[in-house]
Amino acid sequence: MSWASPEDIYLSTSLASYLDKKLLVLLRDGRKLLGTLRSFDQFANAVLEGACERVIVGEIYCDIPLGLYIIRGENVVLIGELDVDKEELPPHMTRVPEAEIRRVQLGFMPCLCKYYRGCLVVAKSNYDLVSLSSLAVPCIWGWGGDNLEFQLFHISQSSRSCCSLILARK
Amino acid sequence: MLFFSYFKDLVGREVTVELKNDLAIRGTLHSVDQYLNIKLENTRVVDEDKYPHMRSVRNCFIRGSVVRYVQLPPDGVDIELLHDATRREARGG
Repeated sequence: MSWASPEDIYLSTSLASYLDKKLLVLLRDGRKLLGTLRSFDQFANAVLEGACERVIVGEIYCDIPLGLYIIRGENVVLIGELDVDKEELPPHMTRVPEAEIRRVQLGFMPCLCKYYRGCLVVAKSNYDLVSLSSLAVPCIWGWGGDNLEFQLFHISQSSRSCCSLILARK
Repeated sequence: MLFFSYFKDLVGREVTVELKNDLAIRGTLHSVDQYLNIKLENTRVVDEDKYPHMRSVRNCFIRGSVVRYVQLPPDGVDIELLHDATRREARGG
């Protein structure tokens, strides 16, 4: 095997042109890893330095540091080069601490939790959980006054701005 | 090697690659290799709202094993040529 000359790298399908760049690696289980590509081979086995996992739940996200990662190629779906001039995520997304995202991710009343303008809105457990849990997570939005009083709306995914149904009210 | 050769002819054309995880990415075919790994340029995800993490990805490498479909430009297939090549390949030539 011979090493490709520098100009060939940019014409081939090899990952060589992505070396030492900040990348997004999408894995088969849906995980999203960010990091700098330091090495790879023909199976798309890859070494990521300074890797972190980006966990996204609804409109909140968190980057969890992982360190140096070797990814087995069969788990790779896509390796994307990040455009440094473009924001990585839409502006309405809020960064939260790891503990917070884990709580939401682990299904801490998932259908009743939602971030709205940076605050976590959580329903109290005395709501009718049976009827609420039958709805898909993205359909539920909750917001309102202080921590205890708020309303839940059922909003169709296509038109988030209009509230079609009030499901529960404290 | 037929499809490898076929995809090589499509380099520079606009294609949509649909993956087994339902993610569909449109972009200019930059290159393809023997495993049918694909590199796309100027990519955009078909359903951007659903995949916010793909927003700033402009160029990407897609592992051939995760591809479900490649949607081609309407004039991307020369049927006659493909027929001939298929017969040649089947004869082992």
